Amino acid sequence: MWRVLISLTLSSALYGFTIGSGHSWLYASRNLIKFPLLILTTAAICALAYFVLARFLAPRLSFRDVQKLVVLLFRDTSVLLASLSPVSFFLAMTMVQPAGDDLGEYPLIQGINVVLIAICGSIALVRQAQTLLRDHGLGRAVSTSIIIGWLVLSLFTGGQGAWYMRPFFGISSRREANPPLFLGTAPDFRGARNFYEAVYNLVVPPPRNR
Amino acid sequence: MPLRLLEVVLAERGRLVANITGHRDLARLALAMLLGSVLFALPYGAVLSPSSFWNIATLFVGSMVICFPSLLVFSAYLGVAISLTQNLVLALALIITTASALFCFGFFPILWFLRSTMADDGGIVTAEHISIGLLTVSLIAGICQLNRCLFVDKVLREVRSNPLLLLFWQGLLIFITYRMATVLEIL
Repeated sequence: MWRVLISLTLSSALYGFTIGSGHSWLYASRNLIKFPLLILTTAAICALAYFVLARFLAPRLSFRDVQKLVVLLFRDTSVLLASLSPVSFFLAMTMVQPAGDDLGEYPLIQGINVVLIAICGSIALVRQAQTLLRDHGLGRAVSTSIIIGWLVLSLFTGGQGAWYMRPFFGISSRREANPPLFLGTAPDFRGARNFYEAVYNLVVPPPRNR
Repeated sequence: MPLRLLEVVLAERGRLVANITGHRDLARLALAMLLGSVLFALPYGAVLSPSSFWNIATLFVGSMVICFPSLLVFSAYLGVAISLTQNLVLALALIITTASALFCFGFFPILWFLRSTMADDGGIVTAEHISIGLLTVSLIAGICQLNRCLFVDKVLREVRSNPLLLLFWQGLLIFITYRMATVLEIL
């Protein structure tokens, strides 16, 4: 298990470094800690809920089985992302940097990274669903339900974790002399102060101040 | 012991139903489930409001206490519970509160994390809103668990022979839980 945790930490740190490098070396070096911290925090906070959900849907899974599967799921995602680090780093180094109010290629690079994270997460999810199916003899529907349940819990908690620990990317034209490590509850440009408000604002955009 | 209850209520449905229908130590089982319903809900209540840590336990157990007599009387009146004892119905009903409390137990670290990382001076979405969502999920999971148990054993056919009664009672329980949440100022 220690080996899995170490590879998870190193892989996610590497990927975190590349996404921060688009802004500055400061952001990149901070992401070496922040990105693994985000993943490990999400896994730790959700550990009990993962277990309760797994017990609810699949009685045969023990607490140890559940934690092992979840850590493997995060590890696989991190390793897949780490393999894309050169791509992410290249894009970060070659992006058209934001200037003034023009965001340049920042939204594009951010979007690409979100897609990469989604792809890696989905592949890891499918693989762990197959593991559940094979090693634990669970039916396809049960395996899928457990994995989707874990995904929802992870997104639900990890989303707020990512919000609190932001910025991971950062807009380089808005460099501050001493940017905070975590922006915490500071509002974004739409006024959202947590992840859920940000999602809400995406669906129902707030009126613009004139 | 607490984890054993989690195993029994969430994972070993067949065994739980066998114990209930076999009337094996039914009073003790009901007592253990009642205690579990209270104890597992306390951490969530403490995170939500340390000064009223008993709120969530009261929400689930209190609503059940209010609705339980109607289940008992209606099932007897409609001839559903031909061989059902009071303890058996109580144990069945307590599946909802215990499973809901167990889900709350699973969610309390998440709620703690959200409360720690979200501003608490109002806003469109607050930790309290999220908490209402988590409590709703817990209650729905509890109701699902009861329904799953009812379909495990053929002996329980008597109980599920009147699905309208079950549906009505579960609707009543949801409504009373909502009212209870309002009274306890959880909503």
